[in-house]
Amino acid sequence: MLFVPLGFSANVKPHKAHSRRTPSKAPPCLNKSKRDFLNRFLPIPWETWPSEGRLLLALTAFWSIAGIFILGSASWWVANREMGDGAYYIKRQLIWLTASWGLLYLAISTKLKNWLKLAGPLLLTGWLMLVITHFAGTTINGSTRWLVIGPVQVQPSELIKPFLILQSANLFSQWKRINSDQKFFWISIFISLLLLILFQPNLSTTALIGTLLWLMALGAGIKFRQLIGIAGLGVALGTVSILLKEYQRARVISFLNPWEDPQGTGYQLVQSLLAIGSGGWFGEGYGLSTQKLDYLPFRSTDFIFSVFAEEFGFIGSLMLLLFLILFAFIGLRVALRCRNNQSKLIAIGSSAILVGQSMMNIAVASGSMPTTGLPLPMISYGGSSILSSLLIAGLLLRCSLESSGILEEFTTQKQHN
Amino acid sequence: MSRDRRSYPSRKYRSKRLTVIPLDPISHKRLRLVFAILLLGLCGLISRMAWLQVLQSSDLYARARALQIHRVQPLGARRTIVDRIGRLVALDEQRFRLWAHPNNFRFPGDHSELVREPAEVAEKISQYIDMSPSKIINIMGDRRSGIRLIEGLDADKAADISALGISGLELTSYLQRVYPQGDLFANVVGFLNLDRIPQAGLEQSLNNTLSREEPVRRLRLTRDGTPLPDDLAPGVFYRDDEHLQLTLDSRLQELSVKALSVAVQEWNAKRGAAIVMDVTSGELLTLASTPSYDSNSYWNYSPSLFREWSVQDLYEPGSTFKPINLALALQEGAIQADGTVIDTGIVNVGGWPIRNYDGGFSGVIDFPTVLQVSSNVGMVNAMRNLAPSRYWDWLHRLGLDVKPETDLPGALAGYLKSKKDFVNQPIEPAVAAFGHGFSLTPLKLAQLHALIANDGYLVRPHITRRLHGEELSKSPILNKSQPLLRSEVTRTVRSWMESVVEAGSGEGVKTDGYRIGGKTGTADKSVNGTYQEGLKICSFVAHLPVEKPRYVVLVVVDEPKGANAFGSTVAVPVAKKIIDGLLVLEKIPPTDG
Repeated sequence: MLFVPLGFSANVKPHKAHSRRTPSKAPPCLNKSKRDFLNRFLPIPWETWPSEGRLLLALTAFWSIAGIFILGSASWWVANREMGDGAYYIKRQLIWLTASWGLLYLAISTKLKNWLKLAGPLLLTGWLMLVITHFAGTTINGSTRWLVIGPVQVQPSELIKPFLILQSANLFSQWKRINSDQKFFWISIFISLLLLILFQPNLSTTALIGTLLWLMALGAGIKFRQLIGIAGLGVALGTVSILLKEYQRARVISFLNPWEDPQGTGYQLVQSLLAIGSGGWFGEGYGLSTQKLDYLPFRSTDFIFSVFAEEFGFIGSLMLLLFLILFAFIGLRVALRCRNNQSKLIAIGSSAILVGQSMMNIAVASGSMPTTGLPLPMISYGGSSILSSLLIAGLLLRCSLESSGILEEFTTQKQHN
Repeated sequence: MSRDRRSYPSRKYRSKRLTVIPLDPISHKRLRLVFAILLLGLCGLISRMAWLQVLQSSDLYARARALQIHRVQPLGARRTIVDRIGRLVALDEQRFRLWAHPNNFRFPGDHSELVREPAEVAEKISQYIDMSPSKIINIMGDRRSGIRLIEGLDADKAADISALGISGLELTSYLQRVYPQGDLFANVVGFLNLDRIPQAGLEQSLNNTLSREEPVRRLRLTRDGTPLPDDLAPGVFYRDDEHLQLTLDSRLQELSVKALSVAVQEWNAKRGAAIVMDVTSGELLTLASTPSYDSNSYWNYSPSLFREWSVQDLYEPGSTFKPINLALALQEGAIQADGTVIDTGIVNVGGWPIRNYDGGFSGVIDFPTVLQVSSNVGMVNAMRNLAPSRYWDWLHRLGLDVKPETDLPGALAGYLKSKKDFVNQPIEPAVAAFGHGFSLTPLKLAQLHALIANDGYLVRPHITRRLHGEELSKSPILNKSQPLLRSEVTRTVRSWMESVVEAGSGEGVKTDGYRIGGKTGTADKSVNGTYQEGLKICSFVAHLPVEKPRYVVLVVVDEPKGANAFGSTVAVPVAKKIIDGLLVLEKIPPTDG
């Protein structure tokens, strides 16, 4: 407390009066001194947070904590079998989660303007990492997605997502203003990124990122004709990729009728459908999934939703999907409130990728889409995924904070003092 | 694009500098459109989840359970059978069948695409299954899967093959009933056929007891086979390892079988049987039969051997029944213990002449002598003092014509003429006096002699002793309340029988230091109601020790050939060997003096 600048909390109050949108009531659980202490760490005092921001923070916190519990249930038995420690995955996930919340804190404490400036170099770094991965990556399950840096494995295709959002916000928000050289440069970077990921091979992330770019372009107001053209091109590219790669073709065929070969190509999907269907209305109960006991492959990562659905039933699945609708809606509200085009695009892009990736994961698990490996954000096991997801959530939160207008005034005030 | 947005009111970003292209704020419609796309997808997923988890749930649930729940069919393991000293008589052994699936042949560490040649696999396994590689390749032929290479591998060899880690070789286990004593107990224990269905003996008669109670288990398993505690019925894993213990002693049994075989061979007889019964409990220490068969390879033998004739076939006991008749007469007061009877060598009953077996005569003799010389005429005269109806009542009371209560499979009731015939035809009680005209099983005769030996109690002959650690037999004695015969009567008859061994036809079993009672029998054999020339059944029954009898030994040899074939020459030597063994094995102390 010694380091608390004098008059810090006193300065907050006058500004509160300016903001009509921010509710003046502090959370009742915090008394004043604690609140002041916490406010020291927040970019703007909690009292001045826009309601979307508060809700988003709560939703993100709930999402990531619930994710730990879901992962715990999904991974415990097999972890105990294979690693001799049931908490093996949870422990590692908790470390990643802590780091990721640090990143989220960094995201909400950093001006979007600075993020946007950094976006280009960071994206190029990510691009470089992808190139390195292409030549020196680790291959797991036939796909070269991982780069080993010291003790950790990172997945550059996951990590570039937030920077891709930032950079495309940069690009699309001033599409008409940017000269064609720059456009050409960044579009080729985007396309080469997509191709690099596609040839890992990782069709799902390619499709996700492609869809994200397209949605951001759609949000930015690019002409429908161009958008449809691009979409057609993307679908054609995906089709060619599927036709060329035998394993992807087999997956598509097995997706159409998994029961044809339930022991072979349809195995994953059949097991996933059995898990989801076993849940019924109310589910087996937390921890009581049977399919997670080695029947269902990738139960801690790509098919974690199936375990969740088996344990919590249709009610649980409905809650999760309603949660995603709520998150997307809040994301939209943030985007609508944002004061400049870049922020709007960042907000819509961030919520689109978090919700969209969840949708794709659930669609795969429920057999609504060909089987592809995509983590469920903040729930699936995987450090890169959770880092990237919480950074994106942080960017969305920052958008919300900046949308109130309080931030500029507050920062100015702070500097004056 | 800017043309589209012209109506939009805000122009504050518009700059007057020509180089800067004006930027319109992003249309809220477009942002809402993005949200709408997401919302549409999420609603689609909600309906998909409703389809899977509500409408399709019961079907998927059933499919999942079908995959997860395994019905463990009982292997059909049967209880081990041991003899009275714990030697294994019958047990289940795990054996293995080796199957080959050449379309999946891989050595450990091979790439998953590689398929090894049958020759490579044959080379590796030939030493374990005692088969040349070329023969193995021959068996496999062109077939790609599901080839049965060999059966009957023991657990060690199966483990060796399994340790090779060759993919495409499959070992399936099954149980095989093994009878370590070979033919020793086959007549009693029976066997299982190749489908493990009991075909004879105790295996058949005690099938329910011998089958383990193994319910069909329904276990929910993880994929690697770990059972889940959910939905488990209580006691699913309970498995009792109780075995069935027999009263038979394999040492005495073996000795008896050997002795019998020798006699049967020597006299060129059809068959032989020996019974050693504990007179107080009805336990059989020996139920030997020859010729027998090997339960392990029953298919090499004639099915007629699969029944134990000493239990399942009737015969006319002849002279071995005389002591019982005398006991009945004594009990009824028809004769006196110190009385005499006249043997004139021939007696006419209802027009039928009855002679002694040797055609001789003995004059006035006492009852011990009647037994010693086995006088038929003397017996007829003695039993004449007993009213035929009383006599018949007694035979009936002894249970001659009812199925004996026993655990021995297939035990038969004896055959006794109807009371009317017995009373009205004088020849019937007359031939019954020396053990003809009715028939019983050797087992029943042993039971009746046990009655003499144990002072008048009918015991329940049995060969199973305990299961679940409890005595199996209910009550060993059937007429518990009061003895059928007075003890003076039985004691008197026993002393007469002792004289048979001391000075009569039973001399062959005389053993120094022991008091043994006995009676020989040489009965003419009737086949379909007529007595066949030269067909005899020679038998001998012994009680020991006479002062307090504990065992009855009965030896019966069917159809010995030769003019000299009598109970004393054929059956007594066998009985002697058995008695010698019995005295040693049961550690019976000699009588003092």
